[in-house]
Amino acid sequence: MLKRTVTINLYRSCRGVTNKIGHLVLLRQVWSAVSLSREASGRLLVDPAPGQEAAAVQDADSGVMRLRAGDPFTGETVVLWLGVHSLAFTLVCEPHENLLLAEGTLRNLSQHCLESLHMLGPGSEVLLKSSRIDVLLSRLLPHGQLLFLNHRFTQSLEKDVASFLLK
Amino acid sequence: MYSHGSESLINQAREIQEPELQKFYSRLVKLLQVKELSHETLDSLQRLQLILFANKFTKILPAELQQKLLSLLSSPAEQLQVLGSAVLRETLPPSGQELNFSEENLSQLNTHAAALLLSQARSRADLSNLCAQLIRSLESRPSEGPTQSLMFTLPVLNTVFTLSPECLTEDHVTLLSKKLVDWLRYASIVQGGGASSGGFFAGPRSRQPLPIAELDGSVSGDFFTVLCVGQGFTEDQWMNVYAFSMLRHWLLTHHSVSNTAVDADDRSEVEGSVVSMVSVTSSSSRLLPPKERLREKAFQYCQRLIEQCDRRAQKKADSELQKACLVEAVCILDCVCAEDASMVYRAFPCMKALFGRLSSDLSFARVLLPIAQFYLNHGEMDTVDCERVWKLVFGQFPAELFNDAFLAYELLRFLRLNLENIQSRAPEFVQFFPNFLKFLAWDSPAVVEDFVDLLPSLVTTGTAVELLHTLLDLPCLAATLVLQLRSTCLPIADPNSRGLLSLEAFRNPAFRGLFLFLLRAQAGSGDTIDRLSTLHELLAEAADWPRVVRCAQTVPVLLHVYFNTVVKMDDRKLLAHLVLVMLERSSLLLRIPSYSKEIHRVFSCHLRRLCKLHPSLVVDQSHELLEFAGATANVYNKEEVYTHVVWVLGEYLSVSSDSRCSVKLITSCFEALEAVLFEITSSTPPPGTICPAPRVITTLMSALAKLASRSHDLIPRASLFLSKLRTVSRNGSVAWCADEEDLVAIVTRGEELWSLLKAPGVAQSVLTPPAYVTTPRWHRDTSVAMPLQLRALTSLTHSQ
Repeated sequence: MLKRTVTINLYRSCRGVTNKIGHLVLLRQVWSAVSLSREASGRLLVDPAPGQEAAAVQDADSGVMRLRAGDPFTGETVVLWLGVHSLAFTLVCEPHENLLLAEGTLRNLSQHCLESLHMLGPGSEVLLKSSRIDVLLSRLLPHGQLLFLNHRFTQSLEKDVASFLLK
Repeated sequence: MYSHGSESLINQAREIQEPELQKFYSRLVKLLQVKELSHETLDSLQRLQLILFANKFTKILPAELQQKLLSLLSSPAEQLQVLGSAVLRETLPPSGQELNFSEENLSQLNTHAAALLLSQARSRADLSNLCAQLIRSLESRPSEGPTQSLMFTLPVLNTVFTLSPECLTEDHVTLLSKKLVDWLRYASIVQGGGASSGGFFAGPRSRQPLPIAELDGSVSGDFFTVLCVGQGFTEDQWMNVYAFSMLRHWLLTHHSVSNTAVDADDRSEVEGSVVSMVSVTSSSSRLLPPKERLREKAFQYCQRLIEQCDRRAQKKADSELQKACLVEAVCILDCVCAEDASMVYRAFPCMKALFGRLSSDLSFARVLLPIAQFYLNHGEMDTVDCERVWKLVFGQFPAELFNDAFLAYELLRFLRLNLENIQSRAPEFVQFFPNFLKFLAWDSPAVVEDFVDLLPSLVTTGTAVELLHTLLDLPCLAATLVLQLRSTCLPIADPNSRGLLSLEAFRNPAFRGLFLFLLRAQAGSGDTIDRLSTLHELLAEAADWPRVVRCAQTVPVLLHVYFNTVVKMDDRKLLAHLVLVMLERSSLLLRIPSYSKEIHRVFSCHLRRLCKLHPSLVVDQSHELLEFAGATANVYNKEEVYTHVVWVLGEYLSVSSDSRCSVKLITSCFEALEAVLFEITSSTPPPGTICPAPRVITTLMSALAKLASRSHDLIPRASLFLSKLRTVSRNGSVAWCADEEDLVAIVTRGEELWSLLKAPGVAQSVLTPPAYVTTPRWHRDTSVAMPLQLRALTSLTHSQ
């Protein structure tokens, strides 16, 4: 039985829906997509231990779904999701965006979120240190812009984020 | 992870009472008045953010707190900027007060303040202002100042023109085009960050800045792109990355074929001819206007990226990036070629080479789709062989990559968006419907929407019958795909594997043909197989597999779409054939709980509809319909379909529906139905079945009465049965009807019909009404129109 899922919506808040009801609709759809996918694949979920974030993201279920215009965003959107045990990470994209890049970005961001907020452990940092996610997003997904970052550029940005976290 | 602690925190945040909240606000104001950054300040700001997030309704903060938070946006400490922006974004701005950022402030605008400005922009004017300021800052920025302050500018501008493309004026577009060209093509080719050659003991004079490198470690010999690496990066190299990241969207928004057409008219004739010649060669691109120049540079950038992707990257993350870059480069080339057709001839050699390189590697399938899009859009210009492309995309990808959710989405999207084009350029795609349905069978919930859109285009006269069979056997396909994957993953003798029987059958050469038929890539080798019932038995244990169950749930939806399309085609011969298929398949379905029932419901609905639209179908297929209606077993195991078959026979087997309907036909139909009715009302139901539904019995009785009213010789026989029915039921309960109320209803109907049949003329007009009675004509009918007209006149002439 699946435990309750926390869905972290890496939404670009400037676009499309600006109300909370719309986001709840999205969360419910992602939640059902994740559970259907897991049920169909029949994979046994193993509790990932803290420190195994990279492996957890590697093995995570992932999927993509299409949302028609008005349901709930004003234009048609594509939703990518990543399910890491009882956590789901979602990225909402416009139809013209590069999905390969989006998928890579989502995995990278998810891994960082898991690590910096110790989400695989029992703590509640995700609620009390959510500014870390904001900083992470401001570097790796600034104002919602997907970036073509090779490993050197990524390293440079990650160093920047790490220095913020140390303060 | 989610824990009790988190839960209680959220509850606390949600349930905080107003007085406590006000106290919290005032405490926070005091904390913010202190100059130093303390742990408590950060903590309180974080809690405030949580409270605002957790509550359903957006709050308005007290004015003093708002002001304090606004001032945080220009604080040197980034934590305060982040929190200030995050909190303010969750609140409503105080009414009547615009976020005023003077020009000096804007030059120090940071990314978090910009996020707030964007989220609170209320009008196009706000966005235009922000735009203008940002572009001005790009033009003339101080040489000192942190690198960060420039880099977020492009993403903000990207967001602005996503929300409202008209915010940028022509001048802005021109200016930004020029800057984009500079960043994309002329970024520094030496490493930044002080990296230099020479080593530890070399003196300062001998230190040369190191050149940038490629992803495979070799020194780069051409201009800087996102696939170049260095120890550190200069500012313009960063801008190169940001510029490329938004390039496609920029081109899609601000360049279009119509735009260039308008521009061409404005220019003088001489200039125009120079432009069209120059666009073919890149050497004189300096003569081009900014938009065209950007297009040319974008072209060169993409070609370089494609070459760079041939190198073997040292890091896995970079190999993934190379794939993404290939997709982006192909899409941008597609874009620029759409604007400037002369570029197609330059682009195609590159595309062909890329296709040749990647077509044998399935891991590049998602890159090959944009290439297919390019071929589809521009293949006519150059005489290219697109056959290979379609064979790969329609024939190979679905067969081997049906379980890749992302490829499924992208391939189906490609079909959806280019349907018209594909129908004219590659009409053979329809033949590949068995392949496309594999995506649906594997992951129905994710792609059913796409198929609702695509299915109508797959229904043609040639494919309709085979498509119906394939849809009905979609759960079997789902099971087979699961077995196919398991078969490749699991060793032959694995005692723990689920579904051992069906897996054995899958591997058994005797049944190979059955499974191969389901797994076929193209239509045309037969509508269905003879040994379908054998296949269903072999897959019996798959009936509770989640994929199979989900698939079975989507089939009725698609059948509705299918029949809606078929009806529009108006092909009577096809519809007649489909009636037969429905009758045949109603007993030939994979046994999944409630699957048969749902399919029967769909069949009944459309059988009725088809016969209503084309009543002559009933006479056409009378033989098969009678055979179906005359089999008593069908009453019990196919009740819904049976009821409707009897109903259409009763309703449409008449001369007024089809002049070929003879007395002999009516009589034989009557006799068949009479026999069944006798049988089910004279004895207990066979063991293992429940009593026939009352609706079946009443429908049979009504059908008999209708048929009798058309051939009056049959009336005595019908009346005899109906009166016998009355007598039998007077004794109380009967073996064939469990419920007393139902029995009463049946008998009442019987009596009504019996009394109707006593007056044959009346019976005929009631039970076989002429067409104009059943199609209402409202005001067009003189008898009905009169009262309506009178009423209208009265209400008009009467004084109010």
